[in-house]
Amino acid sequence: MTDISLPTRVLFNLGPMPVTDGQLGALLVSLTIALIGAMVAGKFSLIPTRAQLALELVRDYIMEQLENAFGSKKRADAFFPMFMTLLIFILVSNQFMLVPFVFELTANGADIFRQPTSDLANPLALALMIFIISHYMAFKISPMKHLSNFINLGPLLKARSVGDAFNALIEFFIGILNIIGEFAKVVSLSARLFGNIFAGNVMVAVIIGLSAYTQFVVPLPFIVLSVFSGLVQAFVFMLLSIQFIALSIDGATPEEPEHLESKSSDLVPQA
Amino acid sequence: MDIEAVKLLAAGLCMGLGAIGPGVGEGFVGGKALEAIGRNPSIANKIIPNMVVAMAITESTGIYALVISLIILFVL
Repeated sequence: MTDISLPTRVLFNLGPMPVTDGQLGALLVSLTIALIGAMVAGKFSLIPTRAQLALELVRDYIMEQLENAFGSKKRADAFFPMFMTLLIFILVSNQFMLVPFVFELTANGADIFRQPTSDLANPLALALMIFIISHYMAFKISPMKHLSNFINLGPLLKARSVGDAFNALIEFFIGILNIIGEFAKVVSLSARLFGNIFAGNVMVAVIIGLSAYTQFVVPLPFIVLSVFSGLVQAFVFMLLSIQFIALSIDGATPEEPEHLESKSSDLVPQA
Repeated sequence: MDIEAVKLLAAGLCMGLGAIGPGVGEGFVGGKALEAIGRNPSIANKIIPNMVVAMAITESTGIYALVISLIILFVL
């Protein structure tokens, strides 16, 4: 982790598909999670151990956020596994740099594994998945209502006076701005996670590279800082993707006054 | 000017100017949270997690500047 490189290295080609170190890192993280999951499965009991209690706390926190965002227990239950998977994957891959020796493995002078979230491709894939799911869900609920958030021709056709037409025109252009906003969400969601994790690695590398005296104890506070920011960013990624999907579903559901009241569309969660 | 020199200058300017906004914003978030805790110390446990999440979101514009300057330095 001493050399800083933004683009990933292509290690070998699998048919037409190039395989990079970031992909292998993601594969390693997935295998680790699957292995730990298989070891832990079936060991949960009615009288919880300490670790089980911690996991249940996380589960309760996510369920609370989901119920606040979606406003229905059924939908929260349906979405829970996806968000828990998202959280565990990002959390483990953010902290994976603490595992010794894994990132020192080299083949032909290039690292075999790279921390998945410090390769822009992986956060971008996660953000695109959230983007596609949010639009798919909204389309399933009401295609016309969902499209009218972006191409808003309804008020323009109904306009009776010049003032009406002017307001309708403004609404139409706001709809076009919403299209740009949807893509900005994907960029901001992925760049936030990638930037934080990559910045942590760069900071530690810079401190280590400063001089011979700063190689051992001095980087420790910076490593702690990057571990903390990795922890926070994992939760932030999950909370923001919950909000994106909830907003998208919200925009597509026909208005029901009492249904809307029970929902909180705050960006900041009620913890 | 040399293209390398312009790159270094651009990366430094990008990071320096980009850090102003998040600095002010995070200070504002932290100050307001402390104000709220000072007014009602018993809800500190509820405010601190919200504050951390809000700070992480505020920080993101600074992170975008960082990503841009890293791209200028290492990719372009």
